[in-house]
Amino acid sequence: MDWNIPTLEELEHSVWRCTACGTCKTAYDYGPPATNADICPAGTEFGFEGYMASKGKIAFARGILTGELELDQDLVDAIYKCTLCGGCQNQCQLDHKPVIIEMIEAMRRRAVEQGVGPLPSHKIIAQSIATYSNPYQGPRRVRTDWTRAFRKGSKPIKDIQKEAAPILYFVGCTGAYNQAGRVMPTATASVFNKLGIDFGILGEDELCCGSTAMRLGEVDTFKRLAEANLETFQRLHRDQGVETIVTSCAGCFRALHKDYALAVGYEEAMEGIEVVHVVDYFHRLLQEGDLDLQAVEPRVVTYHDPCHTGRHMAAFSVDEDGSTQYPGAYLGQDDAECVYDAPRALLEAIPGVELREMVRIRANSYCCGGGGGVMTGFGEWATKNAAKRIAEGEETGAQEMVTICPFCRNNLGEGAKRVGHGTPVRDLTELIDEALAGESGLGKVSKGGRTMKPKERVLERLAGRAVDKTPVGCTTTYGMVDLMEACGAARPLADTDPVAMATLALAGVEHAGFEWVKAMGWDIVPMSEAFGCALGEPRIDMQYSIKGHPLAEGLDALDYPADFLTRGRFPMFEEQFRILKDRVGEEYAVYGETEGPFTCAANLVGTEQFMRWTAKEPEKVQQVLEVTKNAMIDVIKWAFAQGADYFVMAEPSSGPALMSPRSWERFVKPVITEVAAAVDGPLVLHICANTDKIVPLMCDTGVAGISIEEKADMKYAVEVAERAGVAVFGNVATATTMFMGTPEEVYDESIAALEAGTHFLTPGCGIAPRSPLENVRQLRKARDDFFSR
Amino acid sequence: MTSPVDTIDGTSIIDELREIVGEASASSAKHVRYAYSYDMSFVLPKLPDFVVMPTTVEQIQAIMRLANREKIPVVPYTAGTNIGGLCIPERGGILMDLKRMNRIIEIDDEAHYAVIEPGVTHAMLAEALQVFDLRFGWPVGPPSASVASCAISHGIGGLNARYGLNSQEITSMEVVLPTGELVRVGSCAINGEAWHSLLPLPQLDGLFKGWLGSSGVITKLGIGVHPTPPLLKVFTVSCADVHDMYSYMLNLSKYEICDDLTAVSWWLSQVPIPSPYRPKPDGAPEFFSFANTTSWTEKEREAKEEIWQMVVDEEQAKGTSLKVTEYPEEALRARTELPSQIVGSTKNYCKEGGAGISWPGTFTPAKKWAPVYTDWKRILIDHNLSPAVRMSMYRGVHYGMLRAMIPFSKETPEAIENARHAIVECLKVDLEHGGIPYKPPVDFAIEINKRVHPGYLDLLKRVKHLLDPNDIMNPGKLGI
Repeated sequence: MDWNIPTLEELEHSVWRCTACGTCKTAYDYGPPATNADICPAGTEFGFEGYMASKGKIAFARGILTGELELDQDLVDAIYKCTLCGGCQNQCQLDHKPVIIEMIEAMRRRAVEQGVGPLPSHKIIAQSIATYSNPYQGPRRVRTDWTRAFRKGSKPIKDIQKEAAPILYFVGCTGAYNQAGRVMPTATASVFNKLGIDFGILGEDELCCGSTAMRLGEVDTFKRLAEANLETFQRLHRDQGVETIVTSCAGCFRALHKDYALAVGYEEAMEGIEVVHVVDYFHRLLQEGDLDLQAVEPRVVTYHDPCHTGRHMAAFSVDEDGSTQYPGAYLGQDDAECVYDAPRALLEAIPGVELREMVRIRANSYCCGGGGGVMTGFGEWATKNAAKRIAEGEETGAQEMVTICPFCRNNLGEGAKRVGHGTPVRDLTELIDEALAGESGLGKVSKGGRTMKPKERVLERLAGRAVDKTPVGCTTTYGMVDLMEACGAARPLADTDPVAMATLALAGVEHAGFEWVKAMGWDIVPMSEAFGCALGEPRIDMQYSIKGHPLAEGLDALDYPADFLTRGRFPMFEEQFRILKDRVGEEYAVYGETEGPFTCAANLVGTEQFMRWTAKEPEKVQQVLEVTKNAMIDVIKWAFAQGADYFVMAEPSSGPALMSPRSWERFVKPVITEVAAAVDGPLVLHICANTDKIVPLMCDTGVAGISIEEKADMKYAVEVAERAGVAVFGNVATATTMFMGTPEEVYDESIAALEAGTHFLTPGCGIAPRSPLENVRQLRKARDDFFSR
Repeated sequence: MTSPVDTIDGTSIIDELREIVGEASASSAKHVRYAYSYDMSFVLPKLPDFVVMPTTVEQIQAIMRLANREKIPVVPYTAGTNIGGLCIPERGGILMDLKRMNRIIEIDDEAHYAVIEPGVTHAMLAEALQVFDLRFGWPVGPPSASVASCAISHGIGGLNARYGLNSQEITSMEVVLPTGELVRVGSCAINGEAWHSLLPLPQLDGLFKGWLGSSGVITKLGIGVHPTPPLLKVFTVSCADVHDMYSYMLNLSKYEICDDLTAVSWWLSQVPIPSPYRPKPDGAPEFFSFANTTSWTEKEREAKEEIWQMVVDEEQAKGTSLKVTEYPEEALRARTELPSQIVGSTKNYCKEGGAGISWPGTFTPAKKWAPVYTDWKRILIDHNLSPAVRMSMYRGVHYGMLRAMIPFSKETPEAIENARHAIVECLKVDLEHGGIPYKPPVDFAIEINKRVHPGYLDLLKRVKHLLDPNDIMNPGKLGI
């Protein structure tokens, strides 16, 4: 295939059309009122004229062409210090305007050709594209990882090579390989499914569009990919009925639309096939009345125009034959293909969304700083630039920044972190998905319509349905000294007084950022207490613990008293439930928690002896368990009657550190299964230590969720649990990290848990009383950051 | 890459510069220097040895002290958008890029002045002034050009007919002398908070205006700004010859009703200027004029229109070729919507010509416009260049700006030399008629110095030596 990709020499005449007037350096509009702003990320950062807009880059081109500048490493470095955003191009009024980006890319191609480009960091990408056909060094099989949820769901995504469909969804490498970027294809496919749109993907056979290679000057790699893709598109059109290629990646969109058009015969190759950005596609549906967007939680957003979907799509008219001005005269610019109006129209069509514009928008949008290989070559600068854009967005009062490019989304997300305000950056498709009701195909029915309230988020997730983001909180105990000091309700009063108990419970929400609330005290001995176990004296930093075992000497005293639920602290718990439900019952889920039947039984007998019985006198074990099981059922029913939204059975004594999986299956599983079968609300089973070996058993008890420690493998647990329709809670380490570690360590561990797929981000166990509040807050921060990427 | 003057007495100049302005703001890399080696003009490219971007007055002082110690030339630079090669280093040295000193320090919307740093651009100041409904005499330079550089070089703007040159708007100055001392002239010299007036003190500002950056580095500038009347009315006429246009402008200027009173030849009214020369169509006027007026009330506007109509009637009664006419729309927008990307980007100047543009830009008595234009037209057409000439009245007096915008290709040395030769020939004609070039390239300075009174030249040299004993400040630009 022949290509019309010009060399620098072929662009020399255009180079000499630049007067170096510097109009390209600033985004100025007469108005009135006049507006003016920086437009060149490189010029803003580096300042010297050579880095400044097209004036500077063309100086480099001029020097190379005249031989006055040697294409050495210094110059190559400078040539790659450009995001190729085209902001300068939008200002220019002269004849070279249409080829400004081409001139810069031609210099890069020259650098590659001479073996001095791209930059070392770019070479890794270039090598990856050449080897793996993606810039992320990812094996082919990983390309479809994002579809896993759909495979398990109700609408597996079509392999378009096997099943015909009119729409090819060209996912793009960032959507497929970048962890944060996967929200885009997921949201896109979800929306397609909700709308009943027939589409398919190339899956593992999709190749990189070549955009990155082209931007870096790796033209041979670009051509190879583009030619292969064009051939695939033709074949899919011919054999599988593909008429439309939809992309949700701005880079792919630009490549397929504009770079591929440099191929001789592009028009013929793409005959009958339309390339459209997903946002344009949704906009058409909106115009046709086929996009029923429902109200989302009210929010103010601002919109960032990506360069690749915006001004890069501008068409330039040139007086080719001289009939209007003179041959080669630049006549005008047509922005009809630029994706400016569609995203704005969609945002404005979502009830609850208020769009507030930044100063630099549309053709004068300020680049996020990540394009043209800058994110890879000069990451620090890219982030710094993104932070400026985020700050500009924040000046509008927007709570979220919305865009339609995965690179922008990622880079702006990094910028938001740098700014430190954590402005969420979201893809528009995510918002559309949120605003649409229907069957997403993820195996869960999305409510659609809005950001969920905390209670809804918790209960929907516990019910196995889709949520807007992973709930964060604690599902064990969180009687922390810092919280007590923050809310004024301290142990031991908060162990027994319903008001203090409720106050401390709510402090988790108010001060730690938790999204649900614990009832029933700050320990896991209430049933044992009601059975008559002696308890140790609590202190501000020490919870109730077992000091005496009523059945230590034998089972003669084994009894399930009729007044069980009026014993111990149950009356206080009843009052605490009432307070909590009154105060936050609408907004936050409330859970009850006690020790589970096995742990309770071990407390009554003494753990050591009880464990011995499991091997030597199993009938005694069963005898005690029969009693504690019934008590457990009653307690749980009672808790639900008080308004508990779910109930946690903590079974530390049944952990793998104390018993084998075989014993667990023999003694614990049947009891838990019976309890789960006997009650109507959702149960969560918490077990300490490395539960890897019993996770399948735990998930097979009928509970709605399992809570695991950091010693357990979250990824594995999620995989097992999802198969069983069970949610996983966890698993930030409470002792080593939350108590003894730094906030950064807690944050990192939280991110790791989220990346591993936890369904509820929680501590792996009860939080140690002396854990710093700042550490605990990192869970919420990590969750928020994770979902704003 | 090292510079030819990078080692003096075992000291690395670039290291010292970096110590002053920071690692990232000083460079001797050739690709960095290269972008400063040329501009739009015919002036041949020359490389600086270093580029620095100071951000404070103290940094500038330190650079000047270093330059004096080592006797290294210093060329102040803001945007490099002049078309006289004024920032091209004649003798290498340190190019001082001031774009990052771009604070608008104050806008006094009551006393009507602004205090700005040298890197403040027309676009920045226009945006800031509009908040207060204030305006300035915006030139036809790019929006990214420097307000201060234009003003201290006697640049012109869109309010020339009303307020005079932009240099006449200067109200106070802060300057780092070539020897590194900081001085202030005008009211700010007495009270650091007062930037309202140069008068009634001795006008020491004259030491720094029109010196082409060879007598100091302006670090702060007070400039007068003006309220913006809401009603704009542009009166446009055309004439078949330059004499008739001169007669009309002379007549209208005496009423002092215009913000800008300008005439442009047919070639300059085109967007873009025809390049190479093309004859104008038969019957097309030789000159167009736009007279920009602004008024506070409808009555005032009507009164101005009455005066203008009276002048038109009088001129037509003389039997001149004057006609009330429409001015080409895009060109008119470029003249009234300033700062402008249309003329600012040189779209209507050198779009067709190529990368080059220069001028014979002069202050010339109005009565000499016609003869000078006639000669210029002949010279330029002989060089296959369009006579794209502009004539503008200054502050109601009967002299003003006469210039020809000459676009040319820079792709060949021959094209550049052709333009240079034509422009210098035009300049000679103007000098013979009592004109004076402004923002002159060195070629012009040489022609001026051939003609000036010896006492003037001697005084110029003495003052220059007094301020810049080591001749390090943009040396060579004055042709002395």
